[in-house]
Formats: sequence, structure tokens, C-alpha cells
Amino acid sequence: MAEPAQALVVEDLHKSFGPIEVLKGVSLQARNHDVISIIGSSGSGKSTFLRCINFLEIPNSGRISVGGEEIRVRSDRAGRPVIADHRQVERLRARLGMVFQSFNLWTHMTVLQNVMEGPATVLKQPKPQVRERAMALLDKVGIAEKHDAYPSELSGGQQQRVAIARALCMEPQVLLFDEPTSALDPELVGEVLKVMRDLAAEGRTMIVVTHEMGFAREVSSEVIFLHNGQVEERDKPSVVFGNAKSERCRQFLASIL
Amino acid sequence: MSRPVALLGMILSATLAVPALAQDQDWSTIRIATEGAYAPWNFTDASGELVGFELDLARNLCERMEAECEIVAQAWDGIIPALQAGKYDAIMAGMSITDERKEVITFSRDYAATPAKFVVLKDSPMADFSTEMERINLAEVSDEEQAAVGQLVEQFRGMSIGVQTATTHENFLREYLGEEADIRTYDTQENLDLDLQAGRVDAALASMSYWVPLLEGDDGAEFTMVGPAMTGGPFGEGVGVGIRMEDQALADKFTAAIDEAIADGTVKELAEEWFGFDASAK
Amino acid sequence: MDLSLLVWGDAGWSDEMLRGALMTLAVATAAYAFSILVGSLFAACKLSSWLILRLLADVYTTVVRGIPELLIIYLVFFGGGVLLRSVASGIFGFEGYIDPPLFVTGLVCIGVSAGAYNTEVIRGAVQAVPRGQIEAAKAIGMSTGQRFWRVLLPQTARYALPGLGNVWQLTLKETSLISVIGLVEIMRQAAVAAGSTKEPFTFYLVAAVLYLGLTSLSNQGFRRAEVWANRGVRYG
Repeated sequence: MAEPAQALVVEDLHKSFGPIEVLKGVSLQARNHDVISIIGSSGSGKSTFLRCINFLEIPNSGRISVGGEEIRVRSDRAGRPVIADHRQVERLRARLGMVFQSFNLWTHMTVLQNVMEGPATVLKQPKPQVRERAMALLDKVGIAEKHDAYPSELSGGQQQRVAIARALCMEPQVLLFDEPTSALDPELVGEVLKVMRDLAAEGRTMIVVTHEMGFAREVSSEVIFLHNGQVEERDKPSVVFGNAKSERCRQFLASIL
Repeated sequence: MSRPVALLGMILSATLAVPALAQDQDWSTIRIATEGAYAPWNFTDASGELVGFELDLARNLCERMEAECEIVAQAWDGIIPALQAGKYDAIMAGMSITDERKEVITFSRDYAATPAKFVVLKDSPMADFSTEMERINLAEVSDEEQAAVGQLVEQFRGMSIGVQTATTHENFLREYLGEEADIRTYDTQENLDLDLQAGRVDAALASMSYWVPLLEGDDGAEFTMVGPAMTGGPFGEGVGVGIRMEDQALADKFTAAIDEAIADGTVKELAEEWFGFDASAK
Repeated sequence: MDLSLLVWGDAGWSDEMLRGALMTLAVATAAYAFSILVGSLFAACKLSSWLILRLLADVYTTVVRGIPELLIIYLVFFGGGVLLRSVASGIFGFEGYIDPPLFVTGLVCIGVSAGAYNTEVIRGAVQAVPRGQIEAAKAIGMSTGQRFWRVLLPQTARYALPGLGNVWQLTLKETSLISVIGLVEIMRQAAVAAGSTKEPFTFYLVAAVLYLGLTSLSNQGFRRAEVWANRGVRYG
């Protein structure tokens, strides 16, 4: 089956935590090979938005389709949104790789075991093939020699690169990055960004919530500026960074660049 | 085991126990529980067999009652609750008849008691003291027993008598000799023995089951027992067979058998064999 | 101390004491396994979103931890017996005494008691697992079952093991109370020997040595398990 052109479509997403509405109707479309950066100040809802895509948070309303398949949501007795079909969500999550700000490598497994776990347990692929693919990915992110180490023995940058390899091993359609370098010491940021640039150059579909404006400007195909749960600017990087229509966006960029 | 817990346990199981169990009302089979850890009343020999005074007595009584007896061992903690739950029908485990226990179970008549006796140094002026009555039961005092009590009071007037604190023996001394004698209490029996040995106290009162083995050994070489062996009254009602409240018929059967066994001297014989003195009830 | 008392076979008490030790170990192990099941069940209740389950679990832990173990043993043993008998007479019309199987009763009595403590240990351990570990498992597409077996359980084990080791010691010692229902384990055997030979010091010393032997062996086991569970952790 040919890959559908729309890798990910999010329509009019609303999300509230109690009485506070954090996302007030956010939409996004990602075609294959798109690299979309989401920027904005803290509290703008960027992370929440990303986490709604793979249902780590459950949106109150809106529609999410992965590769053309829409994720079904229903309401529980109290009217709160609840996953309608767990199997479907699990299947679709397997097609969306996520890289977390705090890496979240499984501490009781070695590096290699971390990378192999998804394909072996979730996709039930035979171990020898998975192992081969995993070692190749670890090599690609430059950390093959540490495959028998435990996460606690690695630096932040090394752990994040392993996390990327782990996500890649699932052969996902879309990669979701939730502020991947925000928790890193400055000197370690570079090694992770390099891996991400390489991925973009390969044509991976990526959605990246980030503060790294260099990456956003030089690597993205589209930049979204989120403010107070709403999209205030959505355009090519050259426009957003050079001549943004939204005043707030210009102020935001001015304050951090 | 703490007493409040034990008491609560007893009362709890009394309320939980199913009352009307369709049992062998003719009592041709009786299950008897004993502890197996209380020599020489009931204990276990190295090969695991239950032996002791009460084992022999139980078999004898069952013969008299024309019943087949099954004897089982049960830990002391829980021996009454298990009776109430119906695990067995009678308890013969050196269990004293007390008012507290009579609230939850009934007893046969007593078959044994360990009488109390006075002890003095062999070279004491009281070393030859004895009364007309060798045994006194303070529960029902006959005229002769009453006279013997009088002799006792006279003999010990002005003397110092040592006793272990918080015992029935202390109760007796306070009641009968409280004004006549100087009563000294000790926290342990061993300390009392030391003072008696040293002559710091004129006499001591304790249970014969304690005195007899002591006087046979080196520690008691200079002691001698004097006066009557006393039971009943402040000393308690003796040791009896514990039985469920609703099985009064069984208790009566035991009582009848015990009466017989006392009358023909069986109990005395067994007691002398196992205790070294006559610990039988009268 | 009269060592001839400790001869093997009919002339001495060694074989009885050892048999008692085996019984102690058997009851403790079975009761402990049961208590882990019970503890996991009620820990799940405590962490549930349903109020009624949380309340149920709270009542269980409060009551069981709040009354003396011996009383719990009485309640389970005699209460269980009454239950069995009323079921038997009500449904099957059977009158008379039913002896609930001793070993099973013993393990249930102690298991119920230890289970309350394990509930808290397990609950605390589950809550200590960093949320990110589970989120990563979700994000990669694992089902609830896979998350439980592959991530939650191994990590909970790491946090739970110290507490679990504690409860094991408790369980082992609690078996010393179980003689009330008729099981012959170390404590009861020592009391029988002590009361029968009038040598309490000898036999209670032997009992202490046996208990110490059992606890130090199991301590080693738990320490090994802790090392394994902490294999990914650098400090601690």
C-alpha cells in the first residue's frame, strides 16, 4: 500500500485541565517528509499539543488522523473524553515515535535492550533481525560501543541519542520530539541536534517542539508559533523568522534571539 | 501471650462458636486435649509420645466412664477457643478452676491441687511443727481443720513469713495471718529462698510442687516442710477438666468418675508417682 | 546445658526441632506468597479510580495493621471455621465439627496479616516508579499488559524489595504464633521440649538459633534480589 500523502492531520484540537483551557483549537497538517517546528513561550501549550497527538493526553475535542486513520474518542459517564479503542491507539502509537525531554530510557534495561524492546515486544518481530537493525541504528547515532551499558552510565546527550535510536527502531511514520534538547547541558546539545538534522535530511517526517531557533529556522519546512493555546503564526521559516505577521511572534523572537 | 488478648480471644470464640452441634450425646467417644509441655502434669517424651500424670489419669477415667478416649495435643494459647469451636470435648491440661474461666467454660470437680506448705530452716525452733490435720481444705472447713488453723496462727504469731508477691499464697497470709505475723513479699521465689537460707526471714510459704523438687536438691538441703498442706479458699479450687458450657452432662460424668478414682486411691497413687507427693484433691 | 537432649531420633529432640523448622519455613513461604498476591490486589485497589475499591483497601489495611496478629489468627481461624460449618450445614446439611485443613488455614491467617503490610509496600513502590518510564512504554505502543510486565513490574520490584524483605522477616516471626491453631512449628516444638524436660534455656536457645539461621539465609536471598533489581541504577 502506498504511503498516504498526509502522514498526520490534527483538526481543531481543544484540551482543558479542569477549568483551564490550554488548547483552544489547534490544527496541523504534516505531509511525508515535512519537518514542522512548534515554537512559543512556556505555557503556550506546545508540549500538551504534542502529547495529545499520541494520546498521552486525551483531547477534549478535535480530530486526529494518523496515515489517514482517525483515532476514535468517546465520553465516559462524567462526560470526560476517553480512548474508545485501546488497540487502535496502541497500533497508531507504534507508528508515531516519540522522543521525550527527559529521555525516559528504561533504567532496568541496557541501551541495546531499550532499542530492541519496542519491535520485539510490540511488533513481535524476530529478535535476530531486530538486534541487527538496533545495532545499526546505534551506530548511526554514534553510540554503538555503549550498547551494553545502562542508561545511568551515560551522559544526557548520549541517552537522548539512544532515545532517538529507540524511536527509529520502530520504523515510525512520524517522529514527535518534545523539547529534546531542553534538559541537556549546552555542550551536549550539539550532538543531538546533529542527529536530528541528519534525520531531516533523510526525509523523515518530524514534528519538533523546540527552543532551538537555529534548528527551527534552518531545518524546518514549516514553523508554527503557539501562544496561549492558539496558533498565531504558521508559515515557512523564512517568513516567520524574517517577517512574521503576528506582533506577539515578532516580540517573542526578538526576546530570545 | 498478653492476657487481654487471650481474654478477648476466648470471649470472641465463645460468641462465634456454633452452639448446637449434634454430638455423641451418650459420650461413648471423648476427645481430650492436653498441652504436652507441662511436666509432670502432661508432657512429651523425646520420641514424641504424650506422657504424664494427666495422661494416665485420663485413661483411667475413660475406663470408668466406659468411653473410648482420643487424646490430642494443643498449644496452651488457644486451648479454650478450640474447645468451644468443637475441635475436642474436654481439656485436661493442669488447668486451674477459676471464676474467670468459669465465665466461658464449665469444669468437672477438681482432681488435683498442689497444696501450699510452710518451710523453715532445719535448725529452726519450728522445725517440728505439725498439726493434727495433715491436709486442710479451706473451702469447707471441718471442726478439726478449724482447730488446725488456730494452731497455725498461734505458731506463727510474731514470726516473719516470706512469700512471693501477687500469689494466692500471699492472699492466704494476709487473710489468716495478716495481724499476727510479719508478712514479707518478694518479687521472685529465688530471692525468698536466699533470705530464708540466710535467716533473714523465719519461714516461707509456697506451693508443694515447688518445694518438693527443691528440697531434694542441694539448694534446699537445709530446709524442711512444716505444718499442714493447704488447699482451697484463697488458694483456688484446684485443677479440673474443662468442658463446654452446654455439655454439663459430660462434666457430671467426669465428676462421677473422679469421685470414684479418688475414693479408691487411684488419684493419690498416680500423684505420688508423678509429683512425688500426694497432689490429689479430696 | 545438657547436650544429650539434642540427640537425633527417639532419644533426643533434634529431629523434632528440625521438623519444626521445616514447618516454620513451609508455612512462612506459602503465607508470604499468598500475602504478595493479596498485597498486589489491594495495592491495585488503593490506586484505583473507583472510590469503593480504595475504601475497601483502606479498611483492610487499617484493621489488619491495627489489631494484634494473634487476634487476626483467631479471627481467621475460628471465623473461617464457623463460615465453613455454616456453609456445610446450610447447603449440605452436614452437622458436626469440620476441621479446616491446618496448613492452608495457617497460611491464610498469616497471609492475610502480612498482606496488609505488603499492600502499603507495593502501593508505595508503584507510586515511586517515575511516570516517564510508563509514558515511554505507552508512546512506543505497548498494551497495558505489556507495560505491566516489561516496565512496571521490574521497576516496582526495585522500589519494593527493601520493604518486601522486611515483611518477610515479619512473616517468618509471625509463624511463631500459629501454634494456637495446632500447627507444630519451631516455637511450639520448643515449648513442648522445654516443658517436658524442664530445660527451657536449652530449647529456646535452639529455637533462637533456628530462627536466626532462617532469617540470615533469607536476608542473603533478598540482598541478591536487590542487586539484580537495581542493576540499572548507579547510586543506590
